[in-house]
Amino acid sequence: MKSFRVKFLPLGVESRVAAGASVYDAALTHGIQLRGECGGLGSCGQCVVKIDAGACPPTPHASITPDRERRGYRLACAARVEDDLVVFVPEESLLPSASVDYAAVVLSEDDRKRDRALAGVEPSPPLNLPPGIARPLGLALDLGTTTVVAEFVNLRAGNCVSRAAAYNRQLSCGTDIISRITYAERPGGLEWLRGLALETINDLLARLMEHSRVGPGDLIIAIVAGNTTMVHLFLGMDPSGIRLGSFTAAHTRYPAIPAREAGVKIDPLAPVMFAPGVGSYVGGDVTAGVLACRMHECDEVTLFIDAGTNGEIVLGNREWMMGCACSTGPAFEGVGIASGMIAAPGAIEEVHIRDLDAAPRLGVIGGAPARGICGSGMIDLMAELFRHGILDRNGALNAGSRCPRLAERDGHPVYLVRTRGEDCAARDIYLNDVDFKKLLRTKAAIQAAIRTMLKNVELDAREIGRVVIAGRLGEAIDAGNAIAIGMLPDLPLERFDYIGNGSLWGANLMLLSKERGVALEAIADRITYLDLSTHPGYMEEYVASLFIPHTD
Amino acid sequence: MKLTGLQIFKLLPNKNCKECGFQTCLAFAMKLVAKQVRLDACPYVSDEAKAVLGAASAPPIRLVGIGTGEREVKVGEELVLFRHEKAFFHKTAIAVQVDDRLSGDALGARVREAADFSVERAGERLCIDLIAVKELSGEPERFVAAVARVREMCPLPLILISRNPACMRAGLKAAGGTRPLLWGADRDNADELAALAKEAGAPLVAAPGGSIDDLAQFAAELAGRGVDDIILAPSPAGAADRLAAFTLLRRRALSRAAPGTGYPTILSVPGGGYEGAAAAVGGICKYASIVVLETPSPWHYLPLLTLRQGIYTDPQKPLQVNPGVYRIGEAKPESPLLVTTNFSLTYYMVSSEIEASEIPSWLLVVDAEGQSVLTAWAAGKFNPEVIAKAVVAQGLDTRVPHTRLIIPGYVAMMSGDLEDKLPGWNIMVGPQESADIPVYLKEVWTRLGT
Amino acid sequence: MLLPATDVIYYTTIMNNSGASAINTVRIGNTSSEGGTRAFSIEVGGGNCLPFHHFEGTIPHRPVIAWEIPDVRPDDWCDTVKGPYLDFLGDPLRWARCVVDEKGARLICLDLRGARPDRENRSAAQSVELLRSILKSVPVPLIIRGPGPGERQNGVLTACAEAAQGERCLLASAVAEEYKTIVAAAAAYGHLVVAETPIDVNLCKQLNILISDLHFPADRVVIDPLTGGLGYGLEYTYSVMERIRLQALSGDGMMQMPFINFVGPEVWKVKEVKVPEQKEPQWGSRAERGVLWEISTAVALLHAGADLLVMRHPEAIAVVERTIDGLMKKG
Repeated sequence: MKSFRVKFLPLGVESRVAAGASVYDAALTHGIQLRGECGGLGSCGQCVVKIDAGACPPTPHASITPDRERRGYRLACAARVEDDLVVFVPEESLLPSASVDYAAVVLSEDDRKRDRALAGVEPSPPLNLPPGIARPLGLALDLGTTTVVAEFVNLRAGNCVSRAAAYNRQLSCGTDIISRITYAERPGGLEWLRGLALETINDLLARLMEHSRVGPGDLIIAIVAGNTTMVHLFLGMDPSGIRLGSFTAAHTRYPAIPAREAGVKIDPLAPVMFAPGVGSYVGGDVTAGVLACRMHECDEVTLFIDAGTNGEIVLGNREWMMGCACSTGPAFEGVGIASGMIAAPGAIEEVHIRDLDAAPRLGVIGGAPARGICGSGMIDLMAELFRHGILDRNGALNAGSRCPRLAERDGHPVYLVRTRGEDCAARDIYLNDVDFKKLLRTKAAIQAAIRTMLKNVELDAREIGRVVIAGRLGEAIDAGNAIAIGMLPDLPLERFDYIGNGSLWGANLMLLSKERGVALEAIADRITYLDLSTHPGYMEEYVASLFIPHTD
Repeated sequence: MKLTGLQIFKLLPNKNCKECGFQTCLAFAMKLVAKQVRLDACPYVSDEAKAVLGAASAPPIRLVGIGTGEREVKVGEELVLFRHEKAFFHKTAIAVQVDDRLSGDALGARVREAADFSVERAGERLCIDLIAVKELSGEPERFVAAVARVREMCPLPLILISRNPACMRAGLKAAGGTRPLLWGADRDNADELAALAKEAGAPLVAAPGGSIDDLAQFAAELAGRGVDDIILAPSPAGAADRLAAFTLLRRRALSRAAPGTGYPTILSVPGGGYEGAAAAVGGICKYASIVVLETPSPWHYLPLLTLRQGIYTDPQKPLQVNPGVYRIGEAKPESPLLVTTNFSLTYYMVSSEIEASEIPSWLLVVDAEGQSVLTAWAAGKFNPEVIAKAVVAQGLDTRVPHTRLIIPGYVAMMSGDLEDKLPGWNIMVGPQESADIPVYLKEVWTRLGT
Repeated sequence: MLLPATDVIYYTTIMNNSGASAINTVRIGNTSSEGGTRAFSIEVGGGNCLPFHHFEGTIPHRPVIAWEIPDVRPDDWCDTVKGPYLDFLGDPLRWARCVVDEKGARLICLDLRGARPDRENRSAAQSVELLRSILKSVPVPLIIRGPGPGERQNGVLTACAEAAQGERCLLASAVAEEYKTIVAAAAAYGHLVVAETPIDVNLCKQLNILISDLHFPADRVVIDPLTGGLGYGLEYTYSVMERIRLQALSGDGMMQMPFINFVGPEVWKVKEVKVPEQKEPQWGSRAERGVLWEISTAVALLHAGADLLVMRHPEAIAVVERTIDGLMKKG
């Protein structure tokens, strides 16, 4: 039977394909999943590819303009392989590697961490409480690149009324901050992103209001803690200065505006206030977290790590503070990972492997059945697989190792955490080789940022008195495992403190204490910003960190 | 002693007044460590801090100037043993030697070749820095004639080489007020040459022979006689000895603890063939501040100056190439056109892979401030606008009628936007890694069949 | 004594520990008493100080130059470097014999470039046949350079490794993406491995660790830091080598392998060795400029720590050998 060579760019994979097969199917054999709502019938026009070399007759469709047709654009499902081809697959034609469930999830387990962060605070909100409302509420909003968390706070009693999280719907416009900014630079892009942020927030609020049986009018103030880009997009401000310009190009202080103007569906006159930021990539989410961990009150040197989509690191004490950010990607929040999910009920947050032949022992938020795996579970899994020699130092799965839980899914080697039906799991839960590479890059970015910052102030890691980890990784993280993969510095375990969602606690503090709000302004003033993107040593540290636990 | 940023920070007032131009006192302290600002930018610094910080910042090796005006050569003020620790700062000055026994024609030719040599490379003009005139005749008049002839012919600063005080006095006079470097102070002529140097305000080479300990002691004595600008000439017995002498001098100078070593160094190598050039390579790599080529040929210059350029680039700073269109091989209008950034390593990797492919091509190099493709993309310096502008500015629509542009695989996402910005152009996505370029060109380009 | 921080590191790690940390001694080639058929073997490395610092350490072995022998007619070589070999172009066996018998080569690097699919696409069997004939009639130790990472290289080098079993050849090169096959072949048939990484201290160490994780002995590994020719990234290679060497001497066992630099292939492809003086009169004589280009690259790398240099032009090789003579002469 006649066959041809078909190469797919930009991946560069190549194979022999039987004559007459569709380009769509040829792509599938490499695990390249093209979009196609119509299922390959040639009607939806989503699977557009570009033929860079080889003969391939046009495939007329409304989604391909004559100009594009002339340049080689074809529908993959209609294009037949009748020649050696080089096919370029545009990103927009690819199915996202993980379909993201945007639904809001009510969270209720975090209260001990919240209590600790808010200890000693007597409610004194930054506005007068109107006497007419029996239970005046404030909204604390953690506006993350990947995840948005909202919390209703009783402004009199100080307690949390309810809390929910959802994926930021802007994810459909790019998973990292730079992609969002470039998206915003397109015509209409900024408004579109702003709309997606508001949709995410307002749906969250609706869910919470229903859950707590309160109305929009009960919410009389909102505090937003978000990174500089997210706040720009939320306010409809052009974010291009953030990636292009110097330190001062981005706005880091924002006046309070009424909710009506902000587009947040609470009391229309309620002030929406923002945690102040430091620079382009160290925003109000970070200063809020620093406030929550009280670095600014301590003599001992504290290392604060917010492991979000951008990893943000602040090092310092009451005398000095230095902050930086690194691009980690959304992996720890479950995006772009085969079985990844947000730290919500059903998420595997703990993994223990004692016997390679047996199923790993798991901790699942809210109990089994597991639905997916969240950040802390991924860290555990990496550490355990590395210990058992399943994962090598480069983060590659050792194909040669004898482990019954190694399998193949969609053409990729995977480690099966749960197979469908095992402990009532509704589907296979696994991480594949690409996932581990992404996690390796995530941990490397954080590790490299920490090392660069320590080098910059010429401190030895051992001089760090306390390491505070914040983020949405899970209920708890195993610092020992995070050290084992090299993400955290190798220090005695008692020095580590996982505070959970520091940004949210910081927003809470601003809601509940005028005084802490003032302290937060001072923190934003005092943090010295270290720009890693132009730092000569960072890339080198990053390369050294792309190794388990580290090249040293 | 070297202070850390935090130690310096503790000496600062911690007012965060921003009057120095930085956001915080810590940021200012970091800049002080990097020697990118001066302490007096802080209006509130205490006297104690001034005393402590001032002492830590004096250079361990003296900066010495030779000549005057535009072509003045400065050597010294180095801070490290290895360039990766920070950088080497004042390039090894390359001198070409003539002597007063050469015929007028031979002298003229050598000076002309040296002075005229000028090649632009990676944004720098490569030139010979100095002419050394050596006295071999023992006759002041002949030395004067040679010096005068060289001065007539070219504006380069001079090195006068003679151990004969009478000749040196005459030569110095012939050099006018041009501050030549006087080479030849030893134990016999030290008094006269030191006096000459002082009088003319000229730098003096200490060349007493013997060990580097003798050399350092002699240099300290010259300094004691009031000569400020000294250059050290070790007299090694062979290549290994030479490396040892220059290495130990640099090491001792940086220690700030060995008197008489905190000066630049000079090395003279025979020319004519390959061996002297090999010695010069050693000198450029390992710590010679000035290398004198005794009898060079023009083909010596490009390799040695290229080496010097490389060794003295800032290792932290990416080396850049000039933006523009580069023709690789015998590219014709129908040859492929690729685009990349002006980070030199990126350029060299891409261009060498194109060369390796043996498919002549055009390479459009876009000014991305010396960043690599992905970094520049993230910072918005390698985007559809920049590329489209470069394509138009270079008139590529007429130079490459096929209107196909190959972009790096790492920026595949901009292909659509770029096609919008360049109507009529067909944007092709090349491989992510430069190593795959030959295969790409062979498979994709040649199969286009156009 | 007050020292700048950099010197403190230097003094404490190298001066005071002199002798504690040395570069591994790597032996290339097995004689009959060692299970091979080479007339002699070559040792490189072993020094416990920076290159040629006889005043503070010992350097038991001199750097060695390997003569590059391409397996097929090297039509891409420029005239300057083809000139001395006109009689043997395309006859690698005679070529190898000539450089050994007449030029005194003690090490040759057989470059199996002809196996590249985009060149002559020679089969593994053809490469093996050539290797066998060279082993039979050329008595010196051997570097075998494959056609470049990928399946073809794995096939060719594995076949060659088997054919040369026991000869302790140096196989080039293992890279991070593709190292297991070559290391396994070297382990199985008693050879050495070049570990190649792209001008990066960390990647270099990572590959060395990965190779040692396969239980391959460290004293059978040679580092190729990737060579940039003069004017084409030489200074990057230079500094990476200095950094690796400093780390090695201060006790990092995963950096203590000797260096190999493929100088010839990098030098003889650049514009500056090809352009005739008629076109660029300032540049001076093309032939001498080209030879000096190779010399300058090699000598600079020697100062950064090169232990093995793969070179092309006989005159350049002769000058570099004499330079090494001078640098090895203790004062």
